Amino acid sequence: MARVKTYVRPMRGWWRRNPYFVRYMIREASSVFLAVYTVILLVGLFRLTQSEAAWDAWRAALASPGSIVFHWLALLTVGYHAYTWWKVAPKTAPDLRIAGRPLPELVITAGGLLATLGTSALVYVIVRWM
Amino acid sequence: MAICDSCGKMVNGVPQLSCHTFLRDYHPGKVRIEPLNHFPVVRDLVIDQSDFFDKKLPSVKPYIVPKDAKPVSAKTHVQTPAQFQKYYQYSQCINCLLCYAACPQYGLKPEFTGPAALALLHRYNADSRDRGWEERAEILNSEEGVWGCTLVGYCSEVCPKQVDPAHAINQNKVNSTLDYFGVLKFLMPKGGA
Repeated sequence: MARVKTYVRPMRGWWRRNPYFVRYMIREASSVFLAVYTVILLVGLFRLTQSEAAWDAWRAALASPGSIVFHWLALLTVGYHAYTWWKVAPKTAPDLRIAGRPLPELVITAGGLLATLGTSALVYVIVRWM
Repeated sequence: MAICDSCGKMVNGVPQLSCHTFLRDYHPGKVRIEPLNHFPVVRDLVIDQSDFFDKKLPSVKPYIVPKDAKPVSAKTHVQTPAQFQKYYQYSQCINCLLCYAACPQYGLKPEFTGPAALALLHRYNADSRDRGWEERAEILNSEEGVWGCTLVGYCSEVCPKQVDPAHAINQNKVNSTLDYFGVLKFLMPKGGA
C-alpha cells in the first residue's frame, strides 16, 4: 500500500484529558509517599543499631510537626494506594474459577480490602497491647 | 452491533464504537467526535491502522500452532468445555482498536505491542490445541511485550466485547517470570489435544 502522509497527535498533557488517567497518575504518585515512609523506617532501624541516644533522637524527630504532617499525608495516600491496589488486583490475579465460573472482580477487591483492614487492625491492637 | 471492528471513534474523549453510541443518550448535551487516539490521522476521522494489522497482530502469531501438523483426514481436535473456557473470552476480540486508543503506553511508545495483540497472544497460548508459546515468547517477554504495560487498565474498561486485555497481559507477566526461571514449560498446554 502506498504510504500516505499522516498526522500524529501530540501526547503532551495526555493524563489531564481523562479522569481515568488522572486517577491512574494519583495512584502511581501515591507510591512515592510509601517509598519515603519506608526509608524513614529503615533509618529508624539503622539508628537503633547505633546507640540509645541515636534512637531517641530519631524518635524525637518523628514527633516534630513537619513529621506529623508528613505521616498524616502518607497515611492518606498509602490508604488510597492500598484501595487502588486491590481495585486492580482482579487484573493481576490468575484466572480464578469456582465450578467453572470466573470469580467476580468485586469478590477479589472486597476480599483484599477486608484482609488489609483486618491485618492493620490486628497490628494496631498488638502494638497497643505491647 | 460490535461485530465488524470498523466504527471506533473518540466520543467526548472516550473510545467508543459509533454503532454503540446514540445521540439520544447525549441530548441535549454536545457531542465531540474525533478519530481514535494514538493512531496517525489520514484525514478527517480516518486513521492509519497498518501498525496494528501489518506489524503488531502478525507478530503474535494469532493462529493455532499445532505440535504436529495433522492431515485433513485425521480426526478433529477434541476439547473439553473447561479447556474451551480458558480462551473463549479472549477469542471474542474484533480488532476494533478501542483498547489502543485507551492505552497511553501505546500513545507514548508506539513500539508497545498493545492490548488487543497481547490478548490474542494469550488466547492462543491458553488453547489446549496450541503448542506455539515458545515461538511467541520473544514478543511476550520483551519490553515491547507484556512488560510495556503499566496497568492503567482503561483498555478493559472500553472493550466492547469484555475481552479484558489488561487481565490477559498481567497474567502473562507471571508467565513471563516463570519462563525466565524455566518453569513455564511444565505448565503450558502441550498442544496434543
